[in-house]
Amino acid sequence: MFQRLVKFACLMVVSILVVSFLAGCSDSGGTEATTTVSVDSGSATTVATAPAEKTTVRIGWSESPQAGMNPFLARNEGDYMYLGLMYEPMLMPMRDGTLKPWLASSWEYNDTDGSWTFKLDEKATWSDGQPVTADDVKFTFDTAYKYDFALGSSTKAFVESVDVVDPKTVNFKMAKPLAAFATLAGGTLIMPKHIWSTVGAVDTYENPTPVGSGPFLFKEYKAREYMIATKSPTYWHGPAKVDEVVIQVFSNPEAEIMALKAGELDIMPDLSGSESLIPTLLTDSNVKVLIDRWPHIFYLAPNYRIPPLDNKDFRKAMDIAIDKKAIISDALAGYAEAPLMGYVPPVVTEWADQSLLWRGLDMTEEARLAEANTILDGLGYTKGSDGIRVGKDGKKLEFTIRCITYPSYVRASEMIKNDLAKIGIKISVEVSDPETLYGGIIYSGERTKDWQLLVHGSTMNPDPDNFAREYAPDPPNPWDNGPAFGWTSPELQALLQASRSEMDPVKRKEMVTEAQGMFADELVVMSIAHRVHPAAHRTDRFTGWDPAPIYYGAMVHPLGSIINLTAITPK
Amino acid sequence: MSAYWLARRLLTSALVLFSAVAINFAIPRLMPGNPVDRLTGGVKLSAEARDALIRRFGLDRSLWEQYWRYITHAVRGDFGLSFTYYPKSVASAIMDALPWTLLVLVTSLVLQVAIGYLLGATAAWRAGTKTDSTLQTMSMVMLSVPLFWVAMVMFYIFSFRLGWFPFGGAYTIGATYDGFLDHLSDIARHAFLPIVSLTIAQYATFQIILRNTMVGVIRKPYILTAESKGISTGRLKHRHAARNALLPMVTFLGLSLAMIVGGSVYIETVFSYPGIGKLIYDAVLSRDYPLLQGCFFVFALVVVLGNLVVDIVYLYLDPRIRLQ
Repeated sequence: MFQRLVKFACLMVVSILVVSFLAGCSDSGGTEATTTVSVDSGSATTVATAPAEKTTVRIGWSESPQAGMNPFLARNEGDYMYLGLMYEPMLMPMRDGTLKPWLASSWEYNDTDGSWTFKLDEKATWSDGQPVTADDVKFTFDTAYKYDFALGSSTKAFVESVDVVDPKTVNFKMAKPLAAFATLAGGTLIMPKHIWSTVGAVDTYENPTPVGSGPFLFKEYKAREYMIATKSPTYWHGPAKVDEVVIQVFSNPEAEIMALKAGELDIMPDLSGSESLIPTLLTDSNVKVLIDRWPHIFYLAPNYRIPPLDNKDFRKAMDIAIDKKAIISDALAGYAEAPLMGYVPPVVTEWADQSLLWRGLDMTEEARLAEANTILDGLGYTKGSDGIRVGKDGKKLEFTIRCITYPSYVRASEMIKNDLAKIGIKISVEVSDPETLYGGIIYSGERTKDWQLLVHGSTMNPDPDNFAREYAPDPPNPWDNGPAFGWTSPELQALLQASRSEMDPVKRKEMVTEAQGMFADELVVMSIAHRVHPAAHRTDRFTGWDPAPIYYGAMVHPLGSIINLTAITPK
Repeated sequence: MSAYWLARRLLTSALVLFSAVAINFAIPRLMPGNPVDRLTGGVKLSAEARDALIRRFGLDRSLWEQYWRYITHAVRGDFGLSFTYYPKSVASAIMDALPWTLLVLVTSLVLQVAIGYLLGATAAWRAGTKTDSTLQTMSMVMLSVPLFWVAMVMFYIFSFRLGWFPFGGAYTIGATYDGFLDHLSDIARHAFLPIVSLTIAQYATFQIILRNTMVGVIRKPYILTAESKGISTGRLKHRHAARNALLPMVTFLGLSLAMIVGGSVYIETVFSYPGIGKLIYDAVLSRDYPLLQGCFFVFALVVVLGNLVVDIVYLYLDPRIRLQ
């Protein structure tokens, strides 16, 4: 009997496999409602005929939104990638630090009472035809503040009340001044009050049929798999030229790249971390790799609780010894810019002090190493017989660099290890997953001495308020860089904190410039590079792909932004 | 098989499951790191917003409180809300993923057993010949090759180079179907490579076990007796020899369930297949405690039930055990 069972099971399974194999080799298996050019099934040269004439842009991404379809829960770039198709902010923060009007056509700061007023665009409407009103803005912020959502986290402490002046005008009465308010509040997604006020508990509402003001309408969403959105024919900026957007989740970048090359995807908005795979894309004439400048900083951070890392001259020696050009070309595969030492990345042209370029760029390796060795000699560190320097207390200069598992981070750490070995500092590299390293150690507030050096990367909001919050948070939080690194500098921190509430833009710029200079002089962190953001798209189906210089709340993927998706045209 | 035996067996299984539920609470929390940073999405929040997130996910409660809540809800099948896919429930996330994993695992398991049986029986029957050594070599090679490598190679050749199969997912996104068979064929097409990859990578052990056991069985006197009675080769090979060599293979089947389920993580990652293996992988990275607890429970359930089935199959295979 067992044998009969085995035979029957084999027969069933083999039948299924034969059927699926034949199906795989044929044009059957569902008809994709996609464009006229598809290589979904059959051989790569087969063109499947689709009954519909609609055009679909297919975007590859690595995860589904943590917020699901509830924009109140949005808190990272992935969330905004999806939700940004349907929901919009009042203003679009641009990567260079400027602001572009969006749902709000204008905004102004009142010098007298310190309040901010936003006037909404008359044309702005929700997808159900209702106008976007000041009530919607008030409701969004009141709800975000009530639930302490991430959406309102950066502004809640500064806002006393949100008031409706008239149907299209909303006023924010400030409890205390915040210079970056227009950027932070302006970049917040706005939700329709007439929908959300009826749902009960906002934080547990899954929002199965999103109503937004954006250029696309929700069609379908499957967590961990995909989202489909169709163009809104009544979008108040004018309908997009593509009919549909599909964001598909891929578990690994290699599969995503192969899908792009085979024509199953139109764009991969994020190749960072996968730079080593870019050469395979460059060989394909139908694929274009775009390099997008990024407000990113890649650096080596010291733990100030571990001497002599708290010694400025010691850090200078380490910094000048590191071959940053080699790290950029090797570990970062050339996809990075030379570092500005003042923390604010060069792409943020509105604020960055471009004169703070790392001085080691123009020096030879011999000169850099000689300078580093001179500094360490002057500090009293002598080389032992094993080549490792020893301090006057007899302690060897041995440290551990910790980094996360990204290949570029690991490679950079190894290169720093080799560079510092040349000046007698012994380094070992310890690799951990992000949650273990960041959540468990660096930003835990507990294991403050369980690390010494950290290779890290941050993407910052182009407004330098981000810079100030990271290094001079008030009150101090263990998850902000300054407290996490054990760094304090009363003068610089006071300057950064003051810049947050300086409403005179000229004065504020002076303060931020001065702060960058001090930051560079102190070498609070050793900036290594500013990574650029590679993305890839196909050229055979759509035109009009250009990296939109947008930085949109926490969303940092311009090629997936609504500006781009409304601009591209089918060929 | 007596009712008493079955009742005892079910009770044991229930106790094992309950222990698994209890232990599953501790396992995710033993991992270094915490879910808070993942919950914040890497964004630096204000203290109030961070605390609100922690409260929303129940992480502000003491461990004992969390444990009590978990146990009292788990016995009702309620594993809470996922951190990663909030406010989706863990049960919902698992039920979305489980059918896809079952499709791949069950199909692959049947194939692994079938191929292992056929090749193992052939190798044993032709022990010492070129056929035997060829099959043994093949199985050794397949045992040495990592599962994810097999999957990547299959993916590269059949999806990318030949374009015969899709690049990911369990079905064609946004497709419209001309009936049930069309739908089934689309699902089969997406499942084909995951199933075949898992089968190729994991059939070899079944083959080796059966082959080695059967070689010993073939030498038994009753085989010679049966042969001399004129029983056909096929009947002799399968009904008399292989049948009596199946027990170790069935034993391994029960033991391998956990391994096979673990293999789903690799397969689903390579093929972007939305099953429970990938769900676990994402949950581990996110420190999604409720989701991990629920997934581990499902795994424990699969292994316990699988072993129960194996025990019952044993009874049918070996009458001596039935009599005991």
